[in-house]
Amino acid sequence: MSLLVDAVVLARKDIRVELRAGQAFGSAAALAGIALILIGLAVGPQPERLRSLAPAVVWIALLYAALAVAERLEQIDRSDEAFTGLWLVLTDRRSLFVGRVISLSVALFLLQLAIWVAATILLDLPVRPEYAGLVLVATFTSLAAASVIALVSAVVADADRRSLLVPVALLPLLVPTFIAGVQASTALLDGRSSDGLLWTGAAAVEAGLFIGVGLLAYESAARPD
Amino acid sequence: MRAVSLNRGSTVSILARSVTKLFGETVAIWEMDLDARSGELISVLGGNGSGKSTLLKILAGTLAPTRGTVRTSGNPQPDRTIVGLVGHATHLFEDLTARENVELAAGLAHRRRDGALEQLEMLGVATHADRRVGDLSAGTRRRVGLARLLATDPDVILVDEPFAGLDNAAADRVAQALAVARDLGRLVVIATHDDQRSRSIATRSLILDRGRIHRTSPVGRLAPIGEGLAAG
Repeated sequence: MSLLVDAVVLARKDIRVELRAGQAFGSAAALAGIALILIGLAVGPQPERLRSLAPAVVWIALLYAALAVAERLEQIDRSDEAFTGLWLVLTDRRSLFVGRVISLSVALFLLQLAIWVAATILLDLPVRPEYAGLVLVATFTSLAAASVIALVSAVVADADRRSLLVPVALLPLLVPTFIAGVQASTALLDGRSSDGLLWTGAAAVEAGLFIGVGLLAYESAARPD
Repeated sequence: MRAVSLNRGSTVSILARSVTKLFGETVAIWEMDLDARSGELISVLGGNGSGKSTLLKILAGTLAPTRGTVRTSGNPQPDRTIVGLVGHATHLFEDLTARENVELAAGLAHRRRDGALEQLEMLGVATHADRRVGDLSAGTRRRVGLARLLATDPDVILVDEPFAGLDNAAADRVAQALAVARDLGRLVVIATHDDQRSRSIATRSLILDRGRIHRTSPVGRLAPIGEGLAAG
């Protein structure tokens, strides 16, 4: 119970810091907007083609956003050894991992919904009842991506070439989430709800797997030295 | 939620035995023994590179010794709920205010969060409570860092250079806060260059030289630092 309570306190700290600075969230949202406008201009008024491209565009923008937000939060933690201060004071250090998963999930969930709203407007996507399923897709894919990023960021936190290592290490691990997210949202845009649920389930399994690995490995992986 | 002065009847001890820390071939600490217990305030003196900061990190458990053991109240791993450290870094989040930083640490240590302002007042920085830490001077940040540590109410308080960068009035406040912690039964260990100020509050002093305890003495019988040592 203490783990969850502390994790929520830490997640609130992350969100408060990001809201106050607004750096990562703002740059990620701007990049997503630019990507959507450019793809709309490049493809032109071809609704079918735009609809088929939209999920991939949304997800590429979202992955960039995920990296930007995670990198910013890590920088904040490492500045003035604030992370060591948290490490020393916590009874259960796994709450650092769970807290980061919560804050990243919230950020990615909100970004994903915002990007979908922007995509619907900018790419003139038709609005269907199945779109409500995107909330479920956003929930589980955000959780999956957040758990992978939180774990990998902790493992390479003290590495010399961290900014290069993080995306390289994350790429293979995020591919399943990327595929599940693109396939689930494509299915929903096409009106195939059951396929959408299936791919959302795949993202949920990945989230469960990485949260489990994170709970087991985080303390030894993230120990500051 | 633990009350601030709970469980002070019990004694906390640190026992370090044959502790050695090597960085490559460089000796930071060599075969050091140390016994310390609640109610003591130990001042660790010595020149730059004498091993003071390394010793504190090993006692805090954030740095593993190359050889030897450190037991905190009999436990081979320093108990995270009773050991607190302020090193050269202050462990503060720059985008949070001083008060938010203190409350965050107190909350995570399951201590009273509403005592944040008291701690900041004791160290003379309450007027900065609602300012962003990134906008504070280095000296003020150090005091906020110490307030953050004291708000977590650890049984063992480890502070590296508590008086560095502070004017006399601020340094006196810090010395007073550490003395209060000592009198409340905490074990306090400070690493410092400020021999004179540390004498006024310490119960015992150790002088380190190249990772070894060069001299140890109850306060009042310690020769001025620098005799036979490179002070700095």
